[in-house]
Amino acid sequence: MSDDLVLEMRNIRKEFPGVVANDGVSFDVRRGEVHALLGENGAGKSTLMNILYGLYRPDGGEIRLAGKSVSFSSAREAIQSGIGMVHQHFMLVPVMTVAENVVLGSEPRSGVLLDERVAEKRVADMAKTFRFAVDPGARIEDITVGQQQRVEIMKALYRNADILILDEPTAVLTPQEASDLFEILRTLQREGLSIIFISHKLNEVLEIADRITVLRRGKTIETVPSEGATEASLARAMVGREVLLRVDKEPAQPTDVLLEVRDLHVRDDRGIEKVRGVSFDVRAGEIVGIAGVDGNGQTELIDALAGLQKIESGTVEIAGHALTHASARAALDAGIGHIPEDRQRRGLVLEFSIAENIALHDYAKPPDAKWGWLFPKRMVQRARTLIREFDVRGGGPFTRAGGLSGGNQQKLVAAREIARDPSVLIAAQPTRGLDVGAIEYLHRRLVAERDEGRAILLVSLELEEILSLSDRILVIYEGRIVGEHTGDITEEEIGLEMLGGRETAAA
Amino acid sequence: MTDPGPSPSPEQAAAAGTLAARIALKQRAGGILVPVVTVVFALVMSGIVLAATQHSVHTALVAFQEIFDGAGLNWIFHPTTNLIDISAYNLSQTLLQTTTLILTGLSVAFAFRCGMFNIGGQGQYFVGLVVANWLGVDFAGMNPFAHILLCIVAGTLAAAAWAGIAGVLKATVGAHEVISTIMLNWIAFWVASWLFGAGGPLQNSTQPTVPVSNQVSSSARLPDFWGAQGFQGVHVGLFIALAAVVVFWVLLNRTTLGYEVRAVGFNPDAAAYGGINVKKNLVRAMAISGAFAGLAGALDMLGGTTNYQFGQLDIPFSQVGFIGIAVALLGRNTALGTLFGALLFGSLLYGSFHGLGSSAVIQPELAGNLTYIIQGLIVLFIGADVLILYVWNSRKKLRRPPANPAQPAKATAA
Amino acid sequence: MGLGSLAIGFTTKQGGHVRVRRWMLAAGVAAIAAAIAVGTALGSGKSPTAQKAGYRAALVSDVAGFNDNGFNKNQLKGLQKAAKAISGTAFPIVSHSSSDYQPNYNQAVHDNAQLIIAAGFLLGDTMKQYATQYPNIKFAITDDPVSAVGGLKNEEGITYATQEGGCLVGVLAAKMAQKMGKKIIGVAGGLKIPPVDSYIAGYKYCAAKAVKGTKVKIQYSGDFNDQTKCATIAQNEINQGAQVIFQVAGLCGDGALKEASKLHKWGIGVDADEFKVANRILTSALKKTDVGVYDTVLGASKGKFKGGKDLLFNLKNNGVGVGKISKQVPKSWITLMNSFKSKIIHGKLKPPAVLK
Repeated sequence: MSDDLVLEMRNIRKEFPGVVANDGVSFDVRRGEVHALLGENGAGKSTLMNILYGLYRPDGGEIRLAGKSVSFSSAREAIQSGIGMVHQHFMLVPVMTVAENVVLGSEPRSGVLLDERVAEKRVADMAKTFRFAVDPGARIEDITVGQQQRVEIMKALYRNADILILDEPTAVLTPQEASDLFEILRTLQREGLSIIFISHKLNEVLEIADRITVLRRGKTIETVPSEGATEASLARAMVGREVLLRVDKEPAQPTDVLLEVRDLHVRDDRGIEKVRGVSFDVRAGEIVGIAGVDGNGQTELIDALAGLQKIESGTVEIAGHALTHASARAALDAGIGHIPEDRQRRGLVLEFSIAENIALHDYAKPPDAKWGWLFPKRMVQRARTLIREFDVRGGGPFTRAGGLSGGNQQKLVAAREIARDPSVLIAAQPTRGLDVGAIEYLHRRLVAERDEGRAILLVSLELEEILSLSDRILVIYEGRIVGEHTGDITEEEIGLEMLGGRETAAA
Repeated sequence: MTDPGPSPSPEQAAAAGTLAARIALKQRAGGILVPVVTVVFALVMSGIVLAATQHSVHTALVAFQEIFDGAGLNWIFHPTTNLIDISAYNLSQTLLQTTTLILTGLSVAFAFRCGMFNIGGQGQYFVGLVVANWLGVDFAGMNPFAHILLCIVAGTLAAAAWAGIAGVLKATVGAHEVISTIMLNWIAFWVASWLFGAGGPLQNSTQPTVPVSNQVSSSARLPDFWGAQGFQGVHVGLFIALAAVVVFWVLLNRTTLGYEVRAVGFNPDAAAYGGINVKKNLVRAMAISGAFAGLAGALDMLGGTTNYQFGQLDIPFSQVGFIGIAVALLGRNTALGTLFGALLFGSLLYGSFHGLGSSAVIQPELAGNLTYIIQGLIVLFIGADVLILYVWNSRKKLRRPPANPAQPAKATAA
Repeated sequence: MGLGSLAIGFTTKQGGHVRVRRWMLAAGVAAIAAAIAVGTALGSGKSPTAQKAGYRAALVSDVAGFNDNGFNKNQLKGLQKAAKAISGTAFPIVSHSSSDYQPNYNQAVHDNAQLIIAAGFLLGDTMKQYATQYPNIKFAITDDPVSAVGGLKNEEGITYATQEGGCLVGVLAAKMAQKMGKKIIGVAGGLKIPPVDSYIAGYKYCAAKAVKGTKVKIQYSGDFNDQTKCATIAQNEINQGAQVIFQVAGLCGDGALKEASKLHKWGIGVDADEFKVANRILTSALKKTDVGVYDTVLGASKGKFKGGKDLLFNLKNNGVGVGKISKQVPKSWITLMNSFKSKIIHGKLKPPAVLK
């Protein structure tokens, strides 16, 4: 690794109405290094990168590429200067092939037509060089999210990027896909590319980065080599105070069975059987974690329990009452609380105010309503109480839920579900995409609710979360429970079970 | 941690499921000024067309004045209730047109709020009109209050049921409401043509060769409060339409029904998760949407807008259901917005039809076609304000940070 | 509209209900203010027409407007010609639907028209209402006898013996069909109403007289504007063997004429001379509504208004007739047609006005 700087950003300042997003941020990248940009949501990471990528113009400061001062007024100029960016939300055309997407905008032509053959060949060569394992002829809509991300990276490489910005690349990936991505990044690094890796996940930053720059509230806090840094030290820099990364909890005191599932079979919307005979109990006062690789039936299992997916066969009982073919309404009324895995698509009506979102289950019941008549003032009042109790920040009862940060959206969902006093609380991916501060809060809250005597079913793709929160762990694989653990078990052992006990090269 | 930019990001827009929801999301940006800019822009464009076809900027300006006066808007310079005054008379006719458009606009807006695009307002309007005519003619001599109530309620309910078909088709077999309501329009169109046409069941019994309906009996006629009865005066239907605006608002914002409608409209997945029966809401919202359009038809019939009868030849010319779409879009599907949109389009429709129809500067042969061109342009630009919003949003991107920088939204390759 | 103001509008979105309302109010006030400003700027010097002198005659079109290829358009011509001849003022007013009729009559009354002509029977009810309301204004109506509109003293009917023109084109149609090998001719009608049917009755009557055994196919489109509907009818009838299509459906019928030409059959125009509508036009049955309106206005302006009675326009006074005849029509057919014409003028032949 050489020490020459390919990029320097000095004293970057960017203001938005009412907010200073970047306040004198300095940041540099060396040739062939992976430099992580770490910070909580809203710390200014994305703003800084959007400035580098030409999407925003800085209000102050200087950008130097390979020693030369530059100023981009569009992403096109940034791309021409060798900067590539992979956004969280992919910008691919679903009906076009991998090769077509990669060359889109700078196509090899024969006459006025796209030269399909040349395009595919070039992309195939590139895929081979960097070991991307993507079929250039496949259509985007037919390949996995992880592969789509690789297509985005190829797009940048095809345009001769030598600085690659990855914005939260692992947020959408399974753990296996994430480690594949890291392999690719290391290959790219060896080829001399510099990579800027935006994240708020401490462990992966430590794993992949050479240096780490921490941002907090628009300011650079520190730039440190990853050797010698620890999760605790980074968390402290990010949040500005000591953070409890390990969940502190007493041993569980389980009592009555509140959720009883027997031989459950569920099909997904396409008619494929995704849950194939699952049986388990969750008792009051315990957290049962379900570990598994994404797509092994977790979603359908949760939906079936919540009355959102039809049950083929088997039984579900809540505190002894059958709930097998209940509607979502009946499941709610029977005492199921449900923090859904996708808070934006399902957990919240983003266009609704906070108050209206809090009323999402009970809008038709007193005190929110009577005889079909709504009482918005009472809804607002209830919202005020819950906003205070659950420390939802970023707005009042009238604020649109879509305007809240992810962490506060999740707190809002949790507040609603917990305030209904459910006997069974299903928490699906409760901390996905959240930063350390919010994760800490939600974890403590789940443990507290357990201690209140609720039965908690935790479903998560984050093994670490399952391990640190659960009193009992069930491992799900291809719609079946393949293991149950209570005592100490390592991540590796569970990881093996999650893959069905055999090595699979995840797509 | 606070997020400064609660704006509908493109990601959220992409996440919204239905066509109606996407349009609604786009329209949230920009507030009131975008519709105002749209209207101004549309007027400028039609001014250019006028000036080009007439080879005179002056003629174009006079034509605009004729539209303005034709709508009776010059009434504000010398207000009077005396209908001998031409501006007062024209204003009264504009109000009549507005009455209809308020209701057809509310119809489209209501379906929109539940995430559906009801293009069937025209057909639902015909259904309300036909039923009101049938009952208004057949039950002659009833107690006027009861008779009027009967016609209005039956016309409204029939249109609700008619629109409900599209809702049921959507909820059960997933037929897209845009397709099904368009098809229902044609069915209503031809059935009404047959009913009112020569030899049709509702055709005028005293003049068997004239393809118009019977006049509704005097007991079913809505009283005029401004204008001589029988001379197309402003009838109490205007108040019914204004009441409908209030009902629309209350229904959406103060009832559990409206809560469900809005939740389903914004996010059907979240609504289902919240315990709301989405299918039931689709059917119900479509029916309510149809009820507004049917009410418009019933009021037009009983209010004497076409002399208490309806002609077969009027059917292809009636566009109020479609104009309702523009009214609702311009009004951003809100109660108050629809009211203003209806006022604008009411003035524009009547003002351009009448002002240009009796124009002193435009050749009478051209007046008709030019009127349709101008109206078409304005509707087009209202529709195109999504485009204006697009330009708007792209320049906004330069000024604002993204909504939620670190949201792992569903990774769809959008 | 400056972009600066747009930006301010945008910031309101965060502020919740109160601020949004205030902005709506402000924008509303701004819009009204702008409207008033524009209105005041334009509002002065209104109605240049009101000062014009001479006899004042208004013509209210039916829903087809004045650009309909014949019926309304010719009446407008007659009105304008008459206004010129007597140095009077013409007030043509366009209708788009029957809800326009009343406002348009109101407009004519407001313009102080002394004579208001209804361009078609569809306006009958409205005319009757206004004639009752305004006994000092004279009213006339094209295509309707005065009996149909109340028979008031200030009303006049402008009627046309269109069966006579229909008869003459029927003669040519029958001969052409005979020559082409199938004695079948067709009609694309608009609505089944008396002014349409009288054409058809004469057509049918004389076609059978000119060539024995000629059959007539009759279909109605239910529309006077949509060309596709009449084209469909023409296609149907040609499929059933029709060699000549007589259109009696205004603008809609032009679709039938074009379709007939396309299929290498013949078309016959109606009301106006439609020789140019398609390339195979045999001839046209003329209803000279321009003559009718012209004569009516001239008569009324000279105090010769025949209150409560009808004016009849026929072959004899050149109110109906045939248009340009195709060059492919042999002289002998024209001679035959002219013999029918002279018989009608001399009262020896009376084609029926009503379809049996």
